[in-house]
Amino acid sequence: MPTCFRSLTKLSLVLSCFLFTGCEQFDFNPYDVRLQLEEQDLNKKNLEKITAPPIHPGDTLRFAVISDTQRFYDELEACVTAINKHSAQIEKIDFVINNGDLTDYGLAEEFKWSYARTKKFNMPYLAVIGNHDCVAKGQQVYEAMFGPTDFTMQVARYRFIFLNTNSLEYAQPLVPDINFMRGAFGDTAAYDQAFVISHVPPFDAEFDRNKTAAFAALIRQNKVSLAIHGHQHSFRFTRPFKDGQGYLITGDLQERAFYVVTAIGKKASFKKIDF
Amino acid sequence: MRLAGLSSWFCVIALFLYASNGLAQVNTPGTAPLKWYYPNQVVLQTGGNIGLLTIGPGYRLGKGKTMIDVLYGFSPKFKSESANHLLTGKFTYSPFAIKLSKRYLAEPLRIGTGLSYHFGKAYYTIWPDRYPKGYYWWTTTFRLTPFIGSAISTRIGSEDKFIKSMTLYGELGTHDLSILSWAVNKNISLWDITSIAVGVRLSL
Repeated sequence: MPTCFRSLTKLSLVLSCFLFTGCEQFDFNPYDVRLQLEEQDLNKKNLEKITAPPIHPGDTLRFAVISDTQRFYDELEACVTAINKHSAQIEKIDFVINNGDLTDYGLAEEFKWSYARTKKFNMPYLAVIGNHDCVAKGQQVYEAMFGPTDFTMQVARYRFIFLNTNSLEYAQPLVPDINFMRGAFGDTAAYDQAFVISHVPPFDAEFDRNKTAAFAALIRQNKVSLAIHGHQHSFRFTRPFKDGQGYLITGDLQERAFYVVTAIGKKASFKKIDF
Repeated sequence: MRLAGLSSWFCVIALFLYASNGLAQVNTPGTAPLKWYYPNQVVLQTGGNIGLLTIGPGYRLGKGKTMIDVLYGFSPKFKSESANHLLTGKFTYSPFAIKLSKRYLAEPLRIGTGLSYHFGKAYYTIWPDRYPKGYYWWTTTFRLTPFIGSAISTRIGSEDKFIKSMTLYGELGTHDLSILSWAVNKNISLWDITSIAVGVRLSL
């Protein structure tokens, strides 16, 4: 017994040494939500970066949108290079939005692989939650890495409203949160135009149909120049509610394109850039 | 805090071993043969996608080249809302062993896979009815964790001891969903999807 006990103590010590070197190569569980400090609260950190430099009312604001980057890491790498190049050589991109489905299986490792690439953007980067990002503990990874799934941003006189519209992922009708959306539009006098950005479009089969009308009405009534969505994997621009409101659906990253939105005063326009 | 938690686990295991050794005194030659469910080994592991701390009994099959361990695994909640608990059936095949000395035995190659079941309301075996059929093709409760590794064993005392030998093993492994991500991306490396595991096996 004493020999065995001594050996076991030694082994325990060896094991402990392995454990506490903080080696990331010891994966304890695919579903663990284990993040480095630099991988946390990214939306908050980037919102601060976006709103820090003074943008005066009437100034041009230009941002790029991508979505459904999920398992396309090779394409994501190429996309980061292309957007950086576009910003340096053609027109300045103020920030980039990834409109959901950063991952396929909602695993922390996928969020990390995505982050390892998007951190090479030369401009701030914001991520919206997609349905795949909700799978298993995915939403908990998203919240630890990026922050709340509904959030707003005010840049000069431009209002951005980012929403979780992945209705199908919830057993209860929690999503989208129409009250949050209404509140986000509340102080109408503070903005000249607004953008609504979410993964699943309100006219998609996986959007809570009981909320479609309310969602579309809020967009119609609140100076929204463009609603931007992903999820459907191919590019299109549509006016589905016959109310004049334009909805931009961005294609997935396998289509090797990003979208540049330019906002000036009360107007906005977009273009699709292939890379 | 985490260190304290882990140390207490090791204490529990040490106590368990101490108690089992006591038990062994009863199990002297001449008594009734052991029941079929009586394990051939006890395993303690960390890493390898089956728990920060993984423990359970195991069985040797055939000529001892194949073994099946039934392991409970735990990992803390870290940044999530709850800790992870899982049960793994771990199958290992060790085709050959090399005798290094009177006391030491090496198994340079061990291959195998675990099949884990993850407990908790975040995971589904069958997706709820609200999803269209086949919307997500995989299940989140079950994960396959293939690995390769090697091991070194040492005898402890004589044949009539309760614990006859102790094995230290190391493994490089991954899990099924990682393999799928790796397969379609040139810039996801094998190292990106590799997880290390180390463990101790006590042969009874």
